[in-house]
Amino acid sequence: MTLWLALKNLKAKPLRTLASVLAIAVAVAMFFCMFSFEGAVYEYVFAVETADFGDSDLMIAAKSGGDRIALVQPLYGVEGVESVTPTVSVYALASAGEREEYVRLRGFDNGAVDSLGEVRLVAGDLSLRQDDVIVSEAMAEAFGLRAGDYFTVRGMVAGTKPVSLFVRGIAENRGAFAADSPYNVLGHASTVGSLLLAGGTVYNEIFIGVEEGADIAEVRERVAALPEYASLTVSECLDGNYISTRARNLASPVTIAGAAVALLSVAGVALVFTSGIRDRRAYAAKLTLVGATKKRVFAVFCLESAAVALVGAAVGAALAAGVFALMLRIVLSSAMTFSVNAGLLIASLAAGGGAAFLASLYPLGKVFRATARENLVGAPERGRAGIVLLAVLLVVTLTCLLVENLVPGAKGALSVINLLLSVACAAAAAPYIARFAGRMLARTSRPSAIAAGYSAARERKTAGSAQILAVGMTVSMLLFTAWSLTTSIFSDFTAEFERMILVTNVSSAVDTSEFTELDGVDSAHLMVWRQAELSADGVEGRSVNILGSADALGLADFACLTSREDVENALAAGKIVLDSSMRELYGIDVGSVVTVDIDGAARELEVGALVRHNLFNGAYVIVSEETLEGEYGLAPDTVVLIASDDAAKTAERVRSVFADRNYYALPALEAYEWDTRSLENVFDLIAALAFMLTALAFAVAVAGVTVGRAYSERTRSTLLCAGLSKRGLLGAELTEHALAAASAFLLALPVSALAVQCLVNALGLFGLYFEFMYNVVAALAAGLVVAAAFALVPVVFGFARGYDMRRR
Amino acid sequence: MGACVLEAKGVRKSYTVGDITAEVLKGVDLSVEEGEFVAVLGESGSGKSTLLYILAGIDKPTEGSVTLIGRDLASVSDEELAAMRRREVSFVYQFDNLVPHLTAYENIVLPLRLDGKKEKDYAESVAEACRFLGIEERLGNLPAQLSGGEQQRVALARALATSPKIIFLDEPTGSLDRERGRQVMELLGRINREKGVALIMVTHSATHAAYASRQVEIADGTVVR
Repeated sequence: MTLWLALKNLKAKPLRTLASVLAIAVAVAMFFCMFSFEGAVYEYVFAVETADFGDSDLMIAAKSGGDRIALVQPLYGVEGVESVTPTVSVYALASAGEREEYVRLRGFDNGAVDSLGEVRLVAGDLSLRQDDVIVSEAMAEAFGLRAGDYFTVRGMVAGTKPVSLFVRGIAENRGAFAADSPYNVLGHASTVGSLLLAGGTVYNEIFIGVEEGADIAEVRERVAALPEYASLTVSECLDGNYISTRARNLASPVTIAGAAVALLSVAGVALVFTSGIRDRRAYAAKLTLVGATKKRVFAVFCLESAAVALVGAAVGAALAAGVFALMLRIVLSSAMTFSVNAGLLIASLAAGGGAAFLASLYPLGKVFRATARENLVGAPERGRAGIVLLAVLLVVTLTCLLVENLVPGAKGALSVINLLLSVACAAAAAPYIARFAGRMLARTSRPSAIAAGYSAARERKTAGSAQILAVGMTVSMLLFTAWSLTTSIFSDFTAEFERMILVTNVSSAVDTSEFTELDGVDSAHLMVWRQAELSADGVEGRSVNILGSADALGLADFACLTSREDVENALAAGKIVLDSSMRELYGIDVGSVVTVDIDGAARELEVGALVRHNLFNGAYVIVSEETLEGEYGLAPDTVVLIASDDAAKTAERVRSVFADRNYYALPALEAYEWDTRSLENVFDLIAALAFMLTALAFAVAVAGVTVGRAYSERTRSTLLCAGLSKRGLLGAELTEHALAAASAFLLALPVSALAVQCLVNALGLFGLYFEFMYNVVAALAAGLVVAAAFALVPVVFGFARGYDMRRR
Repeated sequence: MGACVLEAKGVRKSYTVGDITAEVLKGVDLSVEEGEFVAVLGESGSGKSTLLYILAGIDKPTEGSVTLIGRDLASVSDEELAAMRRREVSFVYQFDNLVPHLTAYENIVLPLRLDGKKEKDYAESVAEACRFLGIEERLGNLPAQLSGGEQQRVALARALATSPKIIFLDEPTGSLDRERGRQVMELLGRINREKGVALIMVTHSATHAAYASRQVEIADGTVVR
């Protein structure tokens, strides 16, 4: 009987049921994406980062292009070494048809081509003979190659002729080909080595697998101590912190935006059910009067909500994988397979379905607080719960905001709470602002304004619309502001680096004037440019880039917090320069001592100055060449060139002129293409979510209006009977909508600025720091579009067609 | 005279809105016997509807006691009160009695189904109530497809279907035209005479009150006649 009544109710309110099911489905799908995203991105970044070395633990590499590693034998006697895979890696210009592009050739010993990473063939086979190679699907497509075709690579040794390579197989872009920018070409060590050095097999990268249970750091020290490798770099292959940081940086904005969409969906369910509260109260009263107990009435409502939650969750589960795949596709721009984690899906179903179920029950408090008679006649609540809740929320929010901003170290988790509290305040205050505006409007002399004013002041409909619009607009303004700011920072970043060229694999003894003599090169800076880990009190192994030269200060727009001279003096004194965000996030200031670990060598260094750069997010350490040489024995390995015009053409010129030195010259934006493209995609995804959330908020508000409007039919008839023209009635509805939208807009604008501040502080949880920035234009545009669209709903949805004096 | 099915003593009811407290009922005493048809008359705002809701256990008095079918409503649990509504007490109000998305038949059998009864247990009595009220042709219709008079007859059929001892009626003809109002009143008279059900009806119409066996007039929150 109870189930029968619940199902009858659902069938009787198809619009409400459909809106709720869709909102729950979106919530479940978003919860799943939130729960799964970072893990999936981590897996992807892990696959990309480990593509070159697979399960290997250590890597021996040349410090410059001039060094060659020839000896492998000494490694077999080292305690703890299980496997040794020597390879030779060479950059070369590949040509096929019209296409010419820089590729990376990797040579392996016979039969070892897939020893470091899986090679999953889609065509051909792995039985490589001399001059046979395996290419990726992406390269095959770009060069128009098929298995059995030939292409040429230009020899690196001056005077050698181009070598013709035979495509033995084409492999999927995964495993050994997961990091395929530039394109990888796998072949024989002898073939690849011959492009580097005429005659004899040479290796310049040796990968070592450490025995299970052996200490990797100890094995690394044992290998580094061998005289044969004294002039080479012996480092650990996997930097877990670096991979985690990259995954987190990519996933965190998406997680935050996804959470906003999910929470708004849940709020939408509550609003849809709140909109029909008058109907529910009457229904509860009727059931009570024919003998239903409160428990029975509650059970009917619970079953109704549970049925909606179940169907919504089922639809959400079906959508989840698709939405997730789409988000991954957008962010990573790569065909990535993933398996749906049943545990995470169940958790998403529980979170989305459960939250929506509870949200749908929220309005029932009113039903059960009132007597059957009050429910029957729709008597307004006598309590002051709403105003008390608002007052409490305001006090709690203000207190938390003060604590967050005045108490050191309080930012982070409290910022997340304050972000939610700010939005909750907007939601709680919106009905009162709408009602107040309604009362003011009712004092005017225009009939339609009076009708709209009374309705807004006394009916739940306008207050409810203002509430959902306030939440929707606030989050929408927040996301659009975030999008516009990140996009603008990103544009500045690309503008800053568009003329930069990175030349790696260089000898530390290289003469930089050789580069500046070239056409199109403005300046050349020899420096160390590599990964490191920074630790200090409260900072555990933060992954950073070493910018090893005092010249680094001139390469990007670093803003000096003190004079430039102070910063240069600090570098000259053997101190390091950090980003000012390290002070904001971890309290590291001038005079602090931090530990910088480069390739396993950890040294304590003093912070001499702080500078500021927006996009790097503090993930860099500027240090002089002399300090690196003195503390770590590191010699410069990279030349940074600043081109006077087109960086791509200048890089091409560098490659051509220095073709016999195996330099790898790439425009900086191309070198970090994956990172920049991923960031760009994340920003696009934020935009997509901002649009989606705005549309969702708008749809929920319109659904609420449509559901709530059915119950004011009697009022409309009465107004028509009282002499209000149909045109006047439409004017009243338009005014009422405009009033709800304006109330929400007025609240959302300041609250969204507050929310941006909270979001900026909350990003500290992810180790990110930005200064407060608020794009008023973006916020205004987002808010005004929603407000205008909502105000025009009565016209667009043809409300006037239903005006009738008959009461049905 | 039959046994007393309803007894109210010193019933007071006041509402507070802001700083203003309005006393709607100022100490009403009333008793109704088995099979009696009592009309409660009064002007708008006299407190008659409030009294009816309190007598039926739908609203609570600020002071005083109500004994319905031998049970003091102040000490009756929600479960017991609900059980009384399913078996012994029915209520019909001015309009909008029916659940809009249930058919006339589904509305009629709602209290029986809530009471866990099977269709075979009530099919005959419901059919008889529907024949008695002349609505057997409209049972498959939704309330919106029925006229106001038909809706009231469906509400009466639902009230009768449980074979109650007492039916409370709040302006049952208030939303009907004169002819349909007269028909409903004649039906109520028949129900009272032929079924022996006690009826307590609130009305402001002296004509309709004339169908009752006893008239009680309320003015300014007290019984004046």
